[in-house]
Amino acid sequence: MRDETQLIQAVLTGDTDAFGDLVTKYQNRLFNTMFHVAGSREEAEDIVQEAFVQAFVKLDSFQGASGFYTWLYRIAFNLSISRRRRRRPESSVDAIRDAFGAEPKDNRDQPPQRMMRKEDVKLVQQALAVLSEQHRTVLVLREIEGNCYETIADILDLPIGTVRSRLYRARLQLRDELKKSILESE
Amino acid sequence: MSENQLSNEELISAYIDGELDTEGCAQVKALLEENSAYRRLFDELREVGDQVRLIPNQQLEQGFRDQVLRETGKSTAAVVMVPHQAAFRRIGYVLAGALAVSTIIALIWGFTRSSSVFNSPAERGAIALDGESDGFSAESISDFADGGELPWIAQVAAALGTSSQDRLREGLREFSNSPRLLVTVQLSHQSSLDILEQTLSQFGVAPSAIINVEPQTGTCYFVSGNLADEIMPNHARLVFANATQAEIESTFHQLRSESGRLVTLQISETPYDRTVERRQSLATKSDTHADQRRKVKGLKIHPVGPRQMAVLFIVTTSSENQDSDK
Repeated sequence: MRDETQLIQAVLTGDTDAFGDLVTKYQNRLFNTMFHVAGSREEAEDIVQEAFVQAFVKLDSFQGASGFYTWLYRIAFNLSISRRRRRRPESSVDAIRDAFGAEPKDNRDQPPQRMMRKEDVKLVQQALAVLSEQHRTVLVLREIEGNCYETIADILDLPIGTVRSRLYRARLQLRDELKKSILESE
Repeated sequence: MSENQLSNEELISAYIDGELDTEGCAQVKALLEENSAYRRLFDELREVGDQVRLIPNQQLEQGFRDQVLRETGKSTAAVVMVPHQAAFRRIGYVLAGALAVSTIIALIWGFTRSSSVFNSPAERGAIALDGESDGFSAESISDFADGGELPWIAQVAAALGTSSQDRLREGLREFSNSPRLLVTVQLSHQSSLDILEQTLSQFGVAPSAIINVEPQTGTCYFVSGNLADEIMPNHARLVFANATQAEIESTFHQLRSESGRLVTLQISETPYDRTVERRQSLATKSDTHADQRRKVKGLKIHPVGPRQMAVLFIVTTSSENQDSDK
């Protein structure tokens, strides 16, 4: 089995199968992440496909300063932003909140144990969708991708301090959204 | 919330992520021992992370790899045929070749214009003629660049509804920001989008701004692409129409009525293979350089069905061309 560098070299010499191996290696990882960033399977699939195609076309410009996946993710992330700008938003915070029902109460003092009892994946996904794109992205990169701060900073082109701060605020916001969701679902 | 508190909370968050050094870890441990509010925050933040990680992984369906490879194959073909770096030269060659070809076409036009529309079968396939303006392809680039309202927007929007109207305006705004290349396709042909994308690929155009609306009568797209800077010096416009005869006639007339010089590379109802053959033949007959012929061969006419025609109009509006047209 060829390693990543060998695969990239092979692609550059015209070995399309080698690129197929790179696709196989990263497709689900990238798709899983973009699913949360983009908010739908269809959109995520389109982004991932387009990202791979762009990566293929631009591969000779890949310097290797970061890992291939980091580079690929950056392409996908930029595509996601670009597509979002182009299309009319299909959902909004208001719309999602409407879907939850009544105006949420202030639940900041709810004990964490209440949250612990609700392991409803759907609620978490909905709460995640309500977060701002900045917060959702950083949270997905950390919790779902398992990236360290340095990698996240590299991908998003942010200082590490900003990543740390944004992650904290993202968690805080998600915590609050989860509490709201749980209360409203009861 | 004080800055110091915020800093402590961020520290706790970073502690959960294992992103603190020994000193930072000790600091957080001390905070957690001393302060129940921080302990609760620690539990909550950690729980949030656990909840997110509970979301099942999403998997792509089988066949995605092959799908990507098919797409990359198309990209490869486009790159090989039309290297992006040489796009301007390529268009220049095409325009030059087209100008030569136009001499032949002008002769045919001379015969046909005095005798109205397709007077005889022999004239069919030469040049399209009279017809009602379709309103799409004759708008000048400057109209888009000015961001002004175009009269047909309302008509299209009426067929589309409010949201599409917004999308249409959004597309126009985006196009206005980069008013370089306008490709208009108006057709009710099912494969219009594929054809458009393939054609753009061949020109090395990344469709960075496509707005796709589907009025009852067909489809239109606005595209500004990376040919932009290369094509603007000639103030050239390419209109790729893939349409019925009537649509092509109106398009042709509308384009011709503009001040620019219209070069029609090909209008044909012939089957795909013969269409390509004819275009290559026209290019070969002209005095174009071998490289130019090769480039012209690189252009593709797509099969559009027995009752439809494939057309590539190239309109140049530079003053030099206008002068030479007189």
